[in-house]
Amino acid sequence: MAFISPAEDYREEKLDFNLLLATNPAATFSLRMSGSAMEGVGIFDGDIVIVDRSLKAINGSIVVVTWQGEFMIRRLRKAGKGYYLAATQRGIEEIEITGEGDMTLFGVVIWSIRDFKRERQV
Amino acid sequence: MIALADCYSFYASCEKVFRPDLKNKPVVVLSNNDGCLVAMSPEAKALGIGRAEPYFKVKKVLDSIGAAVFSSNYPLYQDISERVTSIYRHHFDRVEVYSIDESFIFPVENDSVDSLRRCFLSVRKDALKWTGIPISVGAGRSKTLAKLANRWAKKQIPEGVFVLTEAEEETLLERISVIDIWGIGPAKAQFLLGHGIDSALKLRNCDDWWIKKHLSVVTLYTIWELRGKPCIESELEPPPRKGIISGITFAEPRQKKEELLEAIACHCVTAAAKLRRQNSHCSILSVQINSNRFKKEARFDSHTISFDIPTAYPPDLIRGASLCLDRCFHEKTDYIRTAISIAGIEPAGTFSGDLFTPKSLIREVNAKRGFDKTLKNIEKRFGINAVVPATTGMKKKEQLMKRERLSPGYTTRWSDLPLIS
Repeated sequence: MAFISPAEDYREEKLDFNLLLATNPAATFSLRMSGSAMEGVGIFDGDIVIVDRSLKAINGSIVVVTWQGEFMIRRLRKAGKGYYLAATQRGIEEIEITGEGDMTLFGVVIWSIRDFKRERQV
Repeated sequence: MIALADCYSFYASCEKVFRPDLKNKPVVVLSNNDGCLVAMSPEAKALGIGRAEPYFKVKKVLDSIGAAVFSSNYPLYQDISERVTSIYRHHFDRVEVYSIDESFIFPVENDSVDSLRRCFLSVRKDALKWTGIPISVGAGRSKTLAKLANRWAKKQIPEGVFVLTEAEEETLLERISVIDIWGIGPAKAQFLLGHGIDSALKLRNCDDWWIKKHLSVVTLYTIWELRGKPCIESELEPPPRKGIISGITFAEPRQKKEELLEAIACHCVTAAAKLRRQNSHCSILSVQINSNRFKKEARFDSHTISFDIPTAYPPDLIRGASLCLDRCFHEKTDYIRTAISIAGIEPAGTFSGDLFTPKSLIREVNAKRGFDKTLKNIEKRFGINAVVPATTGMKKKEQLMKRERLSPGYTTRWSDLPLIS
């Protein structure tokens, strides 16, 4: 007869990445980073960016907006009474959110994933 | 109260979620094989493009107005549909999924009209913010009234939510044509119009006996529903399938038997997977093949066989289907569609045969049934169609279809994620 594992009574659920990365699955979408605009917060070209569309953006949030027909990722910054979208890369101009034009908030970035196995060009 | 939540131009709305460049632009979605228009965004509707138009007829117009045209991307629509449904379930305990873009919601009975409306408004807000899909919600005392209320919400109420109270029913029904009532088809509508019954209100006030005599008991149920008496059963759990049909229309006609067999084998694999999923076996299988019905000398060939021992074993189904094909196939025919249908579906169980059944047969049948379990486990790990019989030509259904304007699998393939910069 086999021995019953002494750990049997202490069993816990295995780590589930879905629970960690998508707290609200209905509102969670994955997108892929292209370019270097957000390297300052550690989001590199080719990384997977996970967005929760149910969250409210606050000062300092990394957000994805749609603007001029494209998806754009920036950090939301409050200064005085205005809100701005800033890249971490120098040379990319800050954009003031005026409420005019076609900008809409797509969602708030909650995680990013990088594949370190992937061959990177240096 | 029963509510109906319905997504606006669902397929077109799904396509827009990941294409910010198409905001406020006309978008249309085509049916299988890029045949007809099945969904139009509001911008496309406003330009007078009608549903169910054959694509080749309106292609020029669509090009000239710069409409974006897509093939049906079912994996995307299914994913978004599940997200929207889960939002309904987040707000309400009882939700009945009616179609990919419509669900009935059964709110708690004693909620006031005001609190119901507030609740629906917040469902609508969440659906739009979380998934990007606009919805409308209509509620009434029956499903038929909910359907009418939804229509009203969509057309007349900017916030997209309308709760139809008993007191308002008469006023609304007076303004709705019999043509627009759920369950009244064109033929019935024509008959009713001929008898001067043109509004929903007039239909509601019809005499039960007269309706039963001239139309059907189903129409009578519709009328009772209009009177606020729910008659249409709710199916919170989908019933097990009584028959399964799997078919495809080819982009190009096919004359060779082997080519038809490939497609038919694909259908068998699909049908077998459906049987496995509901833990059942079938005993009747038929194959239908036909040529273009609009051309001269159209052929509609079919043959049916039955299995002595019910089965869901793909090679059994393929062998049976192949036999049917041999029987009904005609040389030099431009076949445009193949389909199989299976019936005689019963719950799976262990086969024990009877006194005269040879032991070897019993062993064989149960070995096949054991194979179901193995396949199920493989599918769980490696996905549907991980193992397919070689007869299918290793083709998937998608490869047999024409889908020239398919959008990426934004939410179903890692290789297809939308780009941000």
